[in-house]
Amino acid sequence: MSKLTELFGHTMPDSLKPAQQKPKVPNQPIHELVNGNYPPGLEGKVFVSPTTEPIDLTACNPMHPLILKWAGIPNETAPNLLFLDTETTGLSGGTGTLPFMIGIGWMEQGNFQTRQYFMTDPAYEVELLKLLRSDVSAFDTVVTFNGKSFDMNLLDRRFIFHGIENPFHAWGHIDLLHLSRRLWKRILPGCSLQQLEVSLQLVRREGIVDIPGSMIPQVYFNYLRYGQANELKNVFYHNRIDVQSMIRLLEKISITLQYPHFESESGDQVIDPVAIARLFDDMGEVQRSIEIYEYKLSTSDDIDCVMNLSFLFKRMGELEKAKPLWEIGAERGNMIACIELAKRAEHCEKDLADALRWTEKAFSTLDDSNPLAMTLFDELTHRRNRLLSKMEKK
Amino acid sequence: MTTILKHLDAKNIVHTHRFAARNAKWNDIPKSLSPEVVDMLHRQGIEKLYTHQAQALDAVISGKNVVVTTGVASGKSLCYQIPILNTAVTYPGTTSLLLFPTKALAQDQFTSLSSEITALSSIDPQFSARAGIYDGDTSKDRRQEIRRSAQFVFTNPDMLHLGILPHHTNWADFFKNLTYVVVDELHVYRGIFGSHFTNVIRRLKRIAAKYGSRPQFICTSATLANADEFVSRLMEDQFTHVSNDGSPSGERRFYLYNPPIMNAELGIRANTMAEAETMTQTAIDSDIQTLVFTQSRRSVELILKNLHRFLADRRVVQGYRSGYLPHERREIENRLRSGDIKSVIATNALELGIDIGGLDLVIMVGYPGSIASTHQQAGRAGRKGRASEVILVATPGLLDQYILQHPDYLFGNSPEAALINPDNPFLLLNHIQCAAFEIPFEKYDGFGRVPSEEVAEYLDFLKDRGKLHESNEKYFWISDEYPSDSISLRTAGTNQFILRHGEVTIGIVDEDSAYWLVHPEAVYLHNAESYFVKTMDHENRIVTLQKTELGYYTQSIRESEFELLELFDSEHISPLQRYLGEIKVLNQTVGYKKIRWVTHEILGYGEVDLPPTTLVTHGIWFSFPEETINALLKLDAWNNVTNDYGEDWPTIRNQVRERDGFSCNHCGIPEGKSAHHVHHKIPFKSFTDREEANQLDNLVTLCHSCHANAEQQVRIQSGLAGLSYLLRNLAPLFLMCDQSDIRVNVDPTCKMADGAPSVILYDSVPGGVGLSEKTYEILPKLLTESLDVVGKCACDTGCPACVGPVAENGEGSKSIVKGMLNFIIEDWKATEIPHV
Repeated sequence: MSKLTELFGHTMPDSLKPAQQKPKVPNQPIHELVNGNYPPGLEGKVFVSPTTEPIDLTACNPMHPLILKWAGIPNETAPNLLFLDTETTGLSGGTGTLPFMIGIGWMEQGNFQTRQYFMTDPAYEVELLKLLRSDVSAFDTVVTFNGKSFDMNLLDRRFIFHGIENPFHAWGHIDLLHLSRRLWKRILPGCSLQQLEVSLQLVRREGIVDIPGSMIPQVYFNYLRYGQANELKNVFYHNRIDVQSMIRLLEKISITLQYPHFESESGDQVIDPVAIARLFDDMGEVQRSIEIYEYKLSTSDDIDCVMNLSFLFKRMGELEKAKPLWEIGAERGNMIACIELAKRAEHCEKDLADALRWTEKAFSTLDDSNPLAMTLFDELTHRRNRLLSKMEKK
Repeated sequence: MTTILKHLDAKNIVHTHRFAARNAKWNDIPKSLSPEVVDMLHRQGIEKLYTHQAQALDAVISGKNVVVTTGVASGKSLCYQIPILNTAVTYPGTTSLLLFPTKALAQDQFTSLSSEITALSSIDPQFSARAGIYDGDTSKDRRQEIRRSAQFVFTNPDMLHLGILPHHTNWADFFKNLTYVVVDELHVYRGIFGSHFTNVIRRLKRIAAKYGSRPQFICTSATLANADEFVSRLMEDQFTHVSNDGSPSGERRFYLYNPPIMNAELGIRANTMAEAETMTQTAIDSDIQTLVFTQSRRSVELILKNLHRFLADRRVVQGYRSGYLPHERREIENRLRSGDIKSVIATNALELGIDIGGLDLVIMVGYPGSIASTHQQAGRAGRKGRASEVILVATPGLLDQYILQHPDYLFGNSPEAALINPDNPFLLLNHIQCAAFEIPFEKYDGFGRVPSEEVAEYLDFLKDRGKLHESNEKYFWISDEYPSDSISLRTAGTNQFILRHGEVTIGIVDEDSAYWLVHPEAVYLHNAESYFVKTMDHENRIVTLQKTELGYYTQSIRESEFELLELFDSEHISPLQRYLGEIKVLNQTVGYKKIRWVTHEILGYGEVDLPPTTLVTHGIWFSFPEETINALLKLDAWNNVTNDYGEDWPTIRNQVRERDGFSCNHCGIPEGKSAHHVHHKIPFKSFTDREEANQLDNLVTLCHSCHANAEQQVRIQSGLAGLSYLLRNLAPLFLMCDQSDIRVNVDPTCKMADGAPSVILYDSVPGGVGLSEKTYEILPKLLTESLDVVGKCACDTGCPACVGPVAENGEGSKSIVKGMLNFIIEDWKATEIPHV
């Protein structure tokens, strides 16, 4: 080894500087830092930390059926939900990324139970995965935050790596990140879990105990190298809050879908009825969607609301209801609205002059900053020319 | 058939080689093939196979690894297509990985295999294999599709290294069923790229083994002097070599053409590119379809521009560049076939589509740089059995002229040896990290042919550096990094510099090479495109490039210091002593030469101020012991150097002696009976202007013995410099490398050789790729060939085609080098040291 050190000593690549120094704080074993124990047969290998939190979950038990519909989960029997979040040694997701901590949570009669599994060494990953697998057999649906692209993907690959059957592979999956984006993207600055926690007032994290996600891998590496467990306490905390946050997020989503009208005077409910109505529409619940759009219209003239509803009516064939909405849109300078009115005038009302007027109005709304400006200009020109020649023939 | 021959001046054709027309040699299609595959072949009009195809097929079917080295357009693709399709039909679900070095090749082979799959599916509706190209351009959705369901995956080594192996769990089913790995153009995997490639294959085998597979390898390669040894070393496996070409070909005549001398005194020849342009013009006029190969994009543009001037219809000539989309290539091929295009100008045979078919004439503007490339380019001549011609138009460069004098290298036994060093410690360190990321190492694991004790050293080193964690007799990767990301397959990874053109990163080089090749103001050739270096950011290690049309390239001037780290071998090959070892080189680039393209004249110099760099690599050096130097100094050849100092020399001489008080400037002795000598500090020969040479501040009075000493030093320096120039230019032919891959230095007082005057050569890649080892082995041959070059060169006192431009400071006169080499070789003859 000294030969290599000598060789590389002459021209050491930056990435291979000597390892970090051992932290100065004295070591404490995990079970003195975190509540939990080693299951029988797994002493020193897999540490399990359980927590029970009393919680009123009537708002999401059962949850709003649209959620299941959105997630593609049939609603005949109520799903048995398992909340899940992992802490890993990196974000690349390649075969060298390990889930050293897996936190799960589930609802149980007035309580929210969490259980956190921690492998004290990569050598015990198989034990961790097997234990997890036997503990989740009663569930059938997993709830995650970004699990579709990360956590569940990673776990699947770890099961494949070790040649163990993946218990989650036939489960339903509700990924709260995607659902949250659908509901709040338009009105919130960001939809990361921590941003949602703040905006929707889900949980409060205690600053000194929590740890930024980016520092977590290093804490595990220090633990492996030096047996330094003190900061692991913070990782357990972070992971547990992540899981507990998710049940509250699900609850918030369920309530929001249930009461999309509920915007209190003090404005502390964060709701975007237009997004909600859109979701109902996409899920085929047209009546409810119209209700919510019309409710929103009664208190505001949000242009997306106007246009979305207009197209909903158009799809349903109720053009007389769409027309007044387009007129509002056209008034507000929306080009699509103008074009729809022009089309309607030309083909339904056979009023070419009116059609031309709407086309000219459309031209006036053209904005150079629109990347499609050139194409739109061409289309409108084409429409105008066609109308003009038609009018000439008459 | 119209021939170009009658339009060429026979005086300039140095050699003609006639490849006789060849009939096909057939074998039956093996009976063991599945009837569906046989049917598919019949439908394509294939009733029998060429002997080499049948041979390859037999070997693969019997479970052996195969490498096929038959020429261009010999139907090599069938050698791998048949077995992989056959096995897929017989055992549905078997998968194959196909590696190609360029996108163009991968695309064409993919198209070819896809049409065979379609044919098979119509014969056997149950057959439903899918093929896909998986590379940097593949969309995310398509990638998922391929991972999930493709049986035949086309990719390249970089993608394999970066995107596939580190995510092998996404490919679990593919690896479980992996039966064949096809590697095309094996000879491109030499030098550093090849050394990396072996390691990528090691990781591939390791991963396949984890899923229970042990794939067979089917490879193709150009002819090499060391084909068997090379393949075995590269792939770390036993291979059956199929080389007897059974495919037919029309007669081909290959002309080696030397542009005529225009100025005998200075040894200047007619311009190579102009000659080639005239030939192309003639060919177009005579309706001969021509493919012209040249070395840089700039040359392609120039040739096109010049040809366009004389053509009524410019569309008749087409420039060809890399990066064309498949449909663009198809269009050019169609237009060639229909006769719309009469001539294509290209930089590289590998980029051309396989369907470009053949043409009647291939013209090479300058020697392509390797014999393998020469044959690859020449192989494009000849359509379906028709006769064809090839012209290699030489440049005045040393290697071009040398090849012309040695046609047996081109047409007989190629001396090119592809060299690699997969166990280069810098590379091993990187790939062991990647491998650990992919699958944890176990305590007594080896890595390819690297034994477990050596692997253990690396594992412990990495553990010490915090990248690996050891427990339970396993080494786990514990870092949030993704190791493949920072590892390029083209560098050794020592503090790399990124080469940027605008927003695009076009390449990466190791630190030492950066200061050698892309220092500020350098002109750098990359992928046949020339760039000027605008800035070099030392802290962030970024080099900013700009495309350029300048008429010259640059060569850096460096000061180097050498330190021996470990001696591997040493031998007295009287009168020389040769050494091989691991050395540490401290380099500092202080300036650069501007050298005109093609003619290699020096146009000027530039200065730069840059920090020194350290390079640890392998080197070979040979020295001249004192007795040899003394003997050389007595030679006529070393003393016959007469200079004409001019009419006023006596006056100048007296002036200097008077200025110096009629005593020796060095030892102080006053003049005795005879006058002292007057010596030029910078040798007279180095000046083009006599007056400048005779400036008083360049002259100094020396007594007879001090003068003799000084002159001796000049001669030794001249000899070494000329020798190093010869070796630098010749070695790449035998080492199959670029000039920048092996560095040559001289040291009149070399510490690594007990202070004796020496010539030092070393690998420019940290850790070495085998060039020094090979040079050590063939040193006698190299020096013999050097004498041949110097002996046959038509110039008087030296030129770029033998010992280097005379005006070079320190580069020596021809007779000195000739005398030196003669002396050495006579001694070898006498002591029976093998040197031919």
